[in-house]
Amino acid sequence: MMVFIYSIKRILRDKGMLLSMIVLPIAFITLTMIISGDGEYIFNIGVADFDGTSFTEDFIKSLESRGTILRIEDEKEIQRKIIDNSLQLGFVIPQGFTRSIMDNESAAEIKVHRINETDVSVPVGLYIENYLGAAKHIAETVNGNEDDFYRGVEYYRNGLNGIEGLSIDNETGDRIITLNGMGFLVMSMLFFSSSAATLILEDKKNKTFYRVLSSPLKLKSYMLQNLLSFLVVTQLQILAIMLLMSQVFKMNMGPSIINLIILLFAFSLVCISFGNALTSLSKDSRQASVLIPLLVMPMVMLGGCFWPRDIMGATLQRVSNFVPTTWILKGIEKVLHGQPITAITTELIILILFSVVFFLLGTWKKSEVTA
Amino acid sequence: MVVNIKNLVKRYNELLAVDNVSLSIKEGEIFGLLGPNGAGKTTLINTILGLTRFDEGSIEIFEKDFKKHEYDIKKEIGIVPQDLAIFEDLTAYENVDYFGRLYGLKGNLLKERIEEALNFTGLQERKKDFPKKFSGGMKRRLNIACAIMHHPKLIIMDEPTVGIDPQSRKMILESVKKLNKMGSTVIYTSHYMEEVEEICSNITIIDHGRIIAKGTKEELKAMIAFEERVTIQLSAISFNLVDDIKKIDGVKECLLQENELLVVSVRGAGNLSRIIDEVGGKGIEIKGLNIEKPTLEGIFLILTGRSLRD
Ligand SMILES: Nc1ncnc2c1ncn2[C@@H]1O[C@H](COP(=O)(O)OP(=O)(O)OP(=O)(O)O)[C@@H](O)[C@H]1O
Ligand SMILES: [Mg+2]
Repeated sequence: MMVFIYSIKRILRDKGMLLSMIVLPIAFITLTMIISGDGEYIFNIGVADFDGTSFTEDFIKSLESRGTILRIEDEKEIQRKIIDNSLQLGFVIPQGFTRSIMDNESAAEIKVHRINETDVSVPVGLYIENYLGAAKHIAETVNGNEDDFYRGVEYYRNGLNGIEGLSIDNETGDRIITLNGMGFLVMSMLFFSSSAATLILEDKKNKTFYRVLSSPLKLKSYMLQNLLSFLVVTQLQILAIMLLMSQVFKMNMGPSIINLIILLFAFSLVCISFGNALTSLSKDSRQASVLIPLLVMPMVMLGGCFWPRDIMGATLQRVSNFVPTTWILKGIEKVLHGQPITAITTELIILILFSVVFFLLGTWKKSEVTA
Repeated sequence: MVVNIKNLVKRYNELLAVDNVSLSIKEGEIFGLLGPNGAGKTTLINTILGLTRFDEGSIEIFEKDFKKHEYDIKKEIGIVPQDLAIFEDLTAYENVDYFGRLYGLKGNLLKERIEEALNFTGLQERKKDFPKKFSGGMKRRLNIACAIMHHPKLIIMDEPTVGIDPQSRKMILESVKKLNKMGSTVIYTSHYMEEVEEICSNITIIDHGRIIAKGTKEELKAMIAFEERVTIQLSAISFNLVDDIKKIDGVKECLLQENELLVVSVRGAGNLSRIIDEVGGKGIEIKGLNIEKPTLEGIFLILTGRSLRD
């Protein structure tokens, strides 16, 4: 196993490789966070509460988990701020609102302001609708008994908290960001594993490969140990980036991290065998380093690492079925939407097929030992 | 017999890189393989190591068939490749450690042997440095350190002294002798005649893939001890000079290299004055004259008509 251990050591010592492995995805993710931050990650809710009952207070408080609440006691101001995009949503609670709910009157309504129904404001809008709808039902049921009404609303609110994360909340926006981040992880996995594979070409160039071949170690063992080390480092990369996404950037990693990891593991197999194919088909590390971006970038773009595949034309979408990145991102999207592992078997199988094909490509051309 | 090669032929398409070579190397020898660029030395070594397939003939190492005993044979060989074969991104110590482990060394023995190899090649103080900080000679020494820590029965050194300073070269030659005394059989290829003369007990000279002479140093020298060799430095050269000198009785060979004329005559030919007359008769001034003792360099020149370092 010494080739394996030394290979890991050499990868971790290589600044260029660390760059493509960790720094590149972090830079990209940070960049998207900054660009999309205003619209998606930061969610400002402006509230003008002219009623001021404990019902409206509780209601506003319950919104805190969904965005930053800003008290703005002026409807005009709210509208202005929505237009200049410092608020993503605002609403006005008219005086006597609580009373009218309890009395079963439909006269007073909350006025919700937003620019349009963006992906991110829809869930909050829905939440508000649901909350108030429930309150009305409770009021009907308790026949205007104030104590019972408050107890009922509290009960409803607690129930909501319990199922938070599964219910409609602002997950949609989160998912877009997470998917974006995953796209960059996928890209950097491809870049990293193919540049790691050039280590073998390096060995050929600096003739240590020659020495290895004259030693008792079998060529097969040397290759496998190298590939295994690339695989292990790729897992470290996945782990590091996922931790960063969830812990530092507070991204929503969806309901099943395990399924994500399974998918990414399958994709790392694709990456390793892709790198192996690439290096065994290229003459030397210089040729390989030209080929890497030439092959990886189209895969990354077609597969939807930078933008949703939907925005591409039908032809391109059809073409994109022939790159593995499409399938890993499809799978990730499904997992983020809470679909079970059975829903991603197609993606998993296709990814495994890709790695088999690449692996065969890599072993196809037997490299001349002493060339 | 450590190595026994019979009628070996290796072709690269049209090119005959090894042409019907037979040789045997006994235990405890320092076997010199001498030949100019492209003679086929490295190709021959690659076939011994099983790295290059050959077309005809047979190779036995440690009296075993290579294919059947590949693992056992390879374990007992240390190779110092012609091109530096070291990891630039590993320290000197790690380089030796890497190859030590490759040859199955472990634990304390491994540590001991690494220190030994580093001491042996004078790299002990630089063991924590990366090779990119090394001079050419130090890299060459590391290249050797990586080949000897497993105390191989057979050490193959393919031009280990190419392009280095005299001091490092001296150190390497000394270490070859030491390794040999410690019990290793050594195959040493070179195109430096002096090196081979200094350290090798048996010498084979090859050119164009063919063996053109072999024997002990003494035997090879005796081959030309029957000859008288004269070199004459000339002030100018003349068109017919070589041909005319060849016509003189007793002259076996005459070669002109730049302004230097080499004349080889049969022993006791007594034709020196006639040679001088011939030169003088063409109006050429003699700037120097040297009657040579036989050297291996001379053998090569005689046998191939070329100087070794062409
Ligand atoms: N892989 C190869 N393919 C084709 N021809 C080759 C190959 N390797 C060597 N040759 C040819 O075989 C001949 C012998 O080469 P070899 O490297 O064995 O010479 P050498 O004696 O080691 O020379 P040098 O002193 O320069 O190292 C040369 O003419 C060389 O061009
Ligand atoms: Mg050579």
